[in-house]
Amino acid sequence: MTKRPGIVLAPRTVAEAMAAGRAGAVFGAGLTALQLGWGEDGPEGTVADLNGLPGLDRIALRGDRLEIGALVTLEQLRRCAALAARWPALSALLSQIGALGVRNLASVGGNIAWGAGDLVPALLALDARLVTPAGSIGLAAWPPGTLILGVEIPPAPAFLFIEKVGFRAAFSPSLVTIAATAGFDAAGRLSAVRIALGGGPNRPGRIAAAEAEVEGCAPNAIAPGALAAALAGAGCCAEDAFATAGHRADVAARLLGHAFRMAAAA
Amino acid sequence: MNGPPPRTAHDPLVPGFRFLTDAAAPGMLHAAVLRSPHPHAAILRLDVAAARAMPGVAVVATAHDIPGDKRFGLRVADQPFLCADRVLTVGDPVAAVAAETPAQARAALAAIVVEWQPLPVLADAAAALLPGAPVLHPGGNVLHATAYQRGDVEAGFAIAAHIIEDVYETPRQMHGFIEPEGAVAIPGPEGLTILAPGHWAEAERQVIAGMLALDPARVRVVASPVGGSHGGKDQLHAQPIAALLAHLSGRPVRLLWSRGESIAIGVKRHPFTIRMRSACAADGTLLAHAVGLLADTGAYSQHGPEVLDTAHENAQGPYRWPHVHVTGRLVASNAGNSGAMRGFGALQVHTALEQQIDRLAAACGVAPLAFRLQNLRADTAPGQLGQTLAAPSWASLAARRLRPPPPPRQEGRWRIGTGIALVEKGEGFARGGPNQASIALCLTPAGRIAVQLGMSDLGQGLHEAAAVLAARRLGCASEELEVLLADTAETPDSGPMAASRGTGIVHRAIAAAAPAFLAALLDRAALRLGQPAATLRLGPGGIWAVNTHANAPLLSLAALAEGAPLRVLASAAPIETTTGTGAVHALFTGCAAEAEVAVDCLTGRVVVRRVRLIPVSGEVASYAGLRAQLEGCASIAAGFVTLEGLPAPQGRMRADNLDGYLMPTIADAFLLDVDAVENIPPDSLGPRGVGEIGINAAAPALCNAIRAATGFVCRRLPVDPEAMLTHLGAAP
Amino acid sequence: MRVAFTLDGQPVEIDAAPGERLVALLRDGLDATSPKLGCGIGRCGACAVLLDGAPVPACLVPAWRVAGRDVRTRDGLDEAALAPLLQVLREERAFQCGACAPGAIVTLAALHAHEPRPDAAAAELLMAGNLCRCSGYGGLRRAIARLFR
Repeated sequence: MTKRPGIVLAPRTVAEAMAAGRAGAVFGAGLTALQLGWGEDGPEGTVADLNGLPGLDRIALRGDRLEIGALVTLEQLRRCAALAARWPALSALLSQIGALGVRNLASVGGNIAWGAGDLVPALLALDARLVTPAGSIGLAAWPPGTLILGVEIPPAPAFLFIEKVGFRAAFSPSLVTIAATAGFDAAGRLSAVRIALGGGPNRPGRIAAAEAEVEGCAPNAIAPGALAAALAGAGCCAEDAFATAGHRADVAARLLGHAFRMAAAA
Repeated sequence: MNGPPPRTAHDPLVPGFRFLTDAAAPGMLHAAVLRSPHPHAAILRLDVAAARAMPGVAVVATAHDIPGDKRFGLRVADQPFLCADRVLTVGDPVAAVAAETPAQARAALAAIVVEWQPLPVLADAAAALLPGAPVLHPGGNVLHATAYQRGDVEAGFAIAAHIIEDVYETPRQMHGFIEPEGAVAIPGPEGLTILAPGHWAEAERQVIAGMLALDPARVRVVASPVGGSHGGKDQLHAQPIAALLAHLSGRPVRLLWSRGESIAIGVKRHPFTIRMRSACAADGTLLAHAVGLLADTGAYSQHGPEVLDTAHENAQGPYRWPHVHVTGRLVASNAGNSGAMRGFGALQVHTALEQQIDRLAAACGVAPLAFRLQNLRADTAPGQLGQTLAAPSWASLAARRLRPPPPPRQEGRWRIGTGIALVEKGEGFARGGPNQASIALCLTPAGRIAVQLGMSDLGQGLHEAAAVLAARRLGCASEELEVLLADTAETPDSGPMAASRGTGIVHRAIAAAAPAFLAALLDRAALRLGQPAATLRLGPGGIWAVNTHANAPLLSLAALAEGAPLRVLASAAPIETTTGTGAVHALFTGCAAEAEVAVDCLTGRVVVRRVRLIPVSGEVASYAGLRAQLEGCASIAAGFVTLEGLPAPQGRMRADNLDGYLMPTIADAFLLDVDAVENIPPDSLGPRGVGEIGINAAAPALCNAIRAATGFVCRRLPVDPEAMLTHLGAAP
Repeated sequence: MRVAFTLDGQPVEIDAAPGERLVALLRDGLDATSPKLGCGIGRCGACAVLLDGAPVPACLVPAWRVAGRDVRTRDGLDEAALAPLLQVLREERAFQCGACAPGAIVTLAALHAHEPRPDAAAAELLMAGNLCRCSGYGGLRRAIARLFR
């Protein structure tokens, strides 16, 4: 349970926001995840409402990279035509994050900063970079709790696979959110493979063992069980009331294997 | 009639429509309830003095402040309105506060001093049966038991060619109505008025009057409209405490349960553990059936005995079994409260039975449909517990419309399968239950015809059904009718809105009341017009001459209404039987189902693709209304089989809100085909109720479809994707 | 704090703690009871209102975020513009008990008015945040098929 908002600050500049953060304020934008921890009673704390920071609510296509402000809502991003055209799997993922009403409030920055957001594994696989007051950094290098000003997504590689598995067809917590990108070398083998997993209680991150298993393989020649072993061994899947860690890893492996086989058939 | 329902006063789509839990009154207080955090505990000390002194607090109530009855319940009054010395579940209420603001009420709760002594927890029915288990109720933890025997099951098993024996477990399903429980209690010069969604206003009034030691004439309950129930508001919820606080403070009080309170303490579908051992001969003839039923009713009996009785009565299905032995036990535990939910015990036992039937069919190489047809009881056979029935269930007519399921197939990552099921369930209550039903037809001072019925509209279209059926009987337009439901100040006692009895009751009660009402109208008109009643008839707008070409009535209803009010009361006779063993029903309704599912071989998830329901409905008044009921049923069945369940490890519900308990969204919806069996041999019983039977047929059909697709036996519901993947084997 | 905003076309002002949710301000403070409190955590859709024209769960909007903004509940929608939608919803029996209806109508009306209007399949998926327990969604799907081509 986090502290109820007793004091709400409304910083107008990044410098003001950072000063508030240093003084102990919690950053909030859409607040959809944050406020679920507020009890009706209990101790109060300070929230720094970031919605007044200028210029962070735009999406821009610069060449073949997409620049997304941290205050862009998830629904605005879902409706972005450039995203749907060039990163269709990411657009489809957004349809599976929350539902329309929640997405109208929730921010891209918040989904990343929260730690359990479904965008994180997708952005890791895409090698996205975060814009912070200290400059551009890779998502994996972002210090948790620090201010995010935006996200930059590089062009999608030849193979892009993202799937969020839930418990019902839509508006579901995640069993596992799995994402993978790769190129193909001259012989049609997978190269520069990036595999990331997260969603729900799973610790978001890239799975080096799975990447190593697949790197340099023809997509229809991945050893059976190899992906499953790599994912299970990585220890990033977790258990909650809905499902065990083992099941999550098993499903992730099945989906990845299937995605690679489909790519081979294409 | 296929179009939109006729507009009566009840239209949730008009702006400003309020449910009872939206009500507000001047000077209204906000209530909060102190509830047990423990599944089982003794209350060593309870001190509300500090709370009483808190700002804005009008009253703090404990059990000691209850003037009259301290407990309630259907068969046994075993449930305290407020617990005094022991709590039997998380959420059991101990004290209640009414204050000027919700925040002040919560602050006062925090000032109540309670000293608990946690006691050993009975997390489920099995734990409650172990030797040395704590005893939760004076008579022991087994609150009800059933037994029935016919023939000699051991003899049957001894000669059987095939025996299927297994244990099936069904989940604690939540009703999931969108309007949580709540009540607004308003004291007034004529007594106390309670506005709260419920199923049986008259019974609720009697219990509240008993609790407050008031003359029931000084208690008024308005129980309709209801923002969804599915059985979950069929027992008292927020009403007693709201009424108590209003009575003690002399001010209006609103008590609304949060979704968290509803999940912790509101009733749930009974989890069942069902042992079945079923046998047939080599040619597929059913021989013997031994069934053990174990139902977890949670802390208090609620509707538990009736649910067990219904499961018991339905354990044989519509089939002919020479040798039968059924036993059932209803057991208390510290895991919440189980109570009425659409399907009511029959659902649980049918998901087990219909899988047993399919598995026996497979064992002897007979197709599932042929196996059922071969073993159907004769239409005119007595009921399964030996009772004389008021009419056949006509399950045979539904069965004959079933099509043999196509074989399973693979479509990419999906495994597709089709299953069937055949069920029947009793309508109304077993003999001795509240089967009485009165209705009143009135001519109001404003010149409208009013239908007054004590049952509630839960969304099932009772308003519409009453208006349409009355208009048809009386010969007027349904727009000229008012329907008044569930207001003890105005409406007669029609028994509870439950057990799929609404349609039939309305049909039969209006049939009983209409002739006398028409006669009274026409007699009065005859006097006014100076011509014989036989020359007059009721038509749109008023009284017309029989056989006339006139284009206006002789006398408007408004004119006819001048003078003394006109009200005719009549009753629908109960449909009961005096024969048979135990709690038996006299009227059963059959229903068949086909279901198609797709199982995702990558995730283990089951997706429902299509369901076809074949209910024995009798004459259908509104196809759109019938389809609406059955679509709701099918969705609840899909949730029961594929998605929903609320385990209570150590007696604590695993979820506390709708993020932890998932129900189907529109994205999970599937096509439902309805093929209603309307042409049944005529009887006087009227159309059959379909409020539940769709769930009871669809759920076992889904189980059989899953098994057809994958070979996976649905021993435990909801189907666990991890168990499915384990069954399907390692990934390629 | 004192929160001033526009509710159903009228200016209102109310005292609130900063973290108090819009749904409580509406239902308890302003007697605007068409949004229903079905869960309080944005998981049922029954409290959906329009916030500057966008459908959001009122239970996820803290008081300070409402200041100066335009809030419309179901009761504040333009009845004339809504009438054709309600006609189709009635004809197809999209709702039974009606408890989910205000939130669903707010969301559906916003989708219908959106430029470009989504097609029926997209509109269905966009209604996944509005739970209904009575209907199995059959009537709502038929209504959506007629309203969103």
